[in-house]
Amino acid sequence: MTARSTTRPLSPHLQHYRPEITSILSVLHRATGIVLGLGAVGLAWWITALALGGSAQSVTHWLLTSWLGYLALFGWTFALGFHLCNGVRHLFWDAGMGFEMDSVRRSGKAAVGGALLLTVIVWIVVIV
Amino acid sequence: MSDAKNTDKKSKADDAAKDTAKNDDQQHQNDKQKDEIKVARTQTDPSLLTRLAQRTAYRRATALGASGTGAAIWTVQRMTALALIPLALWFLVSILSMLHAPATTAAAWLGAPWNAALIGAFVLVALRHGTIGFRVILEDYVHSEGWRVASIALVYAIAALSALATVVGLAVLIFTHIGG
Ligand code: HEM
Repeated sequence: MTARSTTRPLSPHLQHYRPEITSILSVLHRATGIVLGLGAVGLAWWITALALGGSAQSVTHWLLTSWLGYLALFGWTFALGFHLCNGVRHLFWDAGMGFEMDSVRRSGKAAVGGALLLTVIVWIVVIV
Repeated sequence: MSDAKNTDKKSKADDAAKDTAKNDDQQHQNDKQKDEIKVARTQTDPSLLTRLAQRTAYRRATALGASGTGAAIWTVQRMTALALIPLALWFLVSILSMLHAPATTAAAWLGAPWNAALIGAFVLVALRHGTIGFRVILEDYVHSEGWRVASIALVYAIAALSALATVVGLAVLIFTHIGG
């Protein structure tokens, strides 16, 4: 119904830019958001399976504790750690703070550091 | 008082009066200009306004484009993000240590009302936050209107189903837990 112009100018796509910590982390925020969304559905399934009991429960448990399950959970932990730390960064920006370039780079490194720290701490707890 | 002084004073008062008059005049001029701008804006092209209003109504109805819900959704995304900070931290430290435990322990743990409430809040808020996020992403990348509507609808449906399953599942677990 609404005729859209298909000849509007578009900005060059991602691969035309030299990657920098700023752009990499921006992409990573989106990617981790997607991973977390899939994980949230998985979490809903996990709860459902525990409530159902029986084979739903045992299959889910077997899947989660397989090496693939552990790998997925490890990745998901890192995704949550990063998205959380970087999300805090986003919220500061939304409040109008931390826009100077070196502050942006510093907070970016801090977000990566925080994510790694959270992941390592959680998995030490899991393994021990 | 000498006459000279008097006239002096008078002329000064006159000047002041003139000044205010000038200011008033200026003010008036400004107001008039503003009015003219307003008038000019509203009178440019009445059919343009009608078309804009129609387009807004259409976009509201279809929830596509600038439908007027963008700002609200933006705010919800931020509010849910704030709520997720403590919830996610709690989740990270408490739930993953459940991996070692046999499934029955996990079920019992989830059945404890406080745990159930917190994990329920985490999942539901995450689903709400994530749904907005997926919608924004799809709006960025899916250019065909039909596919965009369909994919966003699918995301909403999956999220709604997951939310329902979570609430029902937790209720069942709480009942079994309390019932022994
Ligand atoms: C399981 C939990 C979570 C899920 C499923 C999730 C999912 C998502 C998704 C899919 C997006 C869209 C990404 C994009 O537009 O590029 C997003 C954006 C965002 N998330 Fe999350 N997220 C979660 C947790 C969090 C947490 C804990 C925070 C804490 C601060 C957070 C803060 C944000 C912010 C601020 C944005 C907007 C970023 C922007 O403006 O582009 N999220 N999230």
